[in-house]
Amino acid sequence: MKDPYSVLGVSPNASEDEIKKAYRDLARKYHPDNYQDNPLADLAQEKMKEINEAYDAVSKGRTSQSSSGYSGSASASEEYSRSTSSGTGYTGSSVYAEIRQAIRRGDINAAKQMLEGIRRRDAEWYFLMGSVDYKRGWIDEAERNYRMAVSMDPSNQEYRQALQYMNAGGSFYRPAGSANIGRQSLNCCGNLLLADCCCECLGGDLVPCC
Amino acid sequence: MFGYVRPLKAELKVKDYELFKAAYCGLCHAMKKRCGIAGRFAVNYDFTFLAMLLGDECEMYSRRCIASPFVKKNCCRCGTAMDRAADMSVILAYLKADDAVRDREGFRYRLARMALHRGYVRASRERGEFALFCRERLKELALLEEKRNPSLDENADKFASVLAQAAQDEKGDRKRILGQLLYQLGRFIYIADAVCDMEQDAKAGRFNAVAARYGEKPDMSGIERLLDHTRGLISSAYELLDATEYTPVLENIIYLGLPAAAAAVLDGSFGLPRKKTKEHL
Repeated sequence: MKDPYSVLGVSPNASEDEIKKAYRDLARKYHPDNYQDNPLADLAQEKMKEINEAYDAVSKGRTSQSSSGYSGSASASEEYSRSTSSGTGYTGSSVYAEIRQAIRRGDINAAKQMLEGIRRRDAEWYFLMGSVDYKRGWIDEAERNYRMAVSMDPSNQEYRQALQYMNAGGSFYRPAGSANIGRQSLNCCGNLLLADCCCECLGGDLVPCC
Repeated sequence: MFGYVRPLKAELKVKDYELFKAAYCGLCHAMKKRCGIAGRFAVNYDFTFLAMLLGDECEMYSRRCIASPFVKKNCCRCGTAMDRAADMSVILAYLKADDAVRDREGFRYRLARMALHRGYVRASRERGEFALFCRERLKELALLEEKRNPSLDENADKFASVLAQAAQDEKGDRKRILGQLLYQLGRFIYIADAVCDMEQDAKAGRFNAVAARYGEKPDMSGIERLLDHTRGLISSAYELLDATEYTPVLENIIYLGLPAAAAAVLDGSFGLPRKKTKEHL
């Protein structure tokens, strides 16, 4: 096993808070939510596991060392270890079940071939085709297929969720400070007013005239 | 190939900017070694990114060159990655010029093709498989464009596969990650380039993949969402790679440079003189 400190990217004499922060940042980065239907999801999961184990190892080592009995959150990692297997309670036709399995295995070509062999194309067909497209990175086609599935069966939660995810432009990790740089035209006055409001809330005043 | 993949300079630390410049110079020297002076005109930011991405070690040296004949400039070698990136960019630049010549796009490309020919022959001797793969995909792309294929993803796939092929020499998980990263990056470049060319293509009556999908005067928000999502897939793949010396530069490019390029492409200011694009680049 790798050195847990190097996995977390901190030095062995880092403080409790530093370790917690490093862990949080990493967990935010490799969280399963950032790798929904991503073809690399398995690697992210591995990474997440490694981080969780490292964090647990580090915090366990520390609690046994210090006699003060730190019992805060020895395995805070649990809060991030979410099971990712969704759709296990699937009850549909057997062909679709087989296709779903192929998609889950990552065997995209097989899934695509099976789908193309099906003549009658219902909502689920479009949904699965969308999943196949998404897995191979064809985002635009995926969105179109999901939309088709939703329009054919608007009550299905699974299809709607997939479309919603596409409409939101996916969900990905962004490091702090990178949001909207370059596009934001700095609205100086607005920012000042906002700062003023904050100040006033706290009893001060930044812009005396308003 | 087109300069969309570059750092947001204002947000780079000076030492990281120096590293980026050194990588750029290193690539230029590698290209020169392969195909003489002509190779220098084909050096670009996108392939500098590729070299830094593929490279793991960083070995500095300094050398004079035609652009800086008196002061030696720092250059870096990224193991074999620099040579690989140089070969690939020569091959792609040649094939692009070749394409343009066949489309009768003027004397400029004929000249470029002539100049790059020697380098292309050498590079494809070294990387025959890659050259063949590129040729095939670009031929397929030309066919799709001739048919005026309306599927943006299918058109982009051809170009993206070419870029993804650059990860061919890697192994194991790294190959998967880089393949996915470069595939999505290829899509990003293809789509951004199509958006940029939209007006010109409409005037000339040429096929344009974005216009074919979204219409001649599209609502940019849909394209923006598509580019953002593509970028998200690039970054999610990137985060799975191990850190190297280039990490700060690469992160800058992915998280700041690409969004800035996308914003500039979408509001039509990409490639305009610096003054007008101050906000973005």
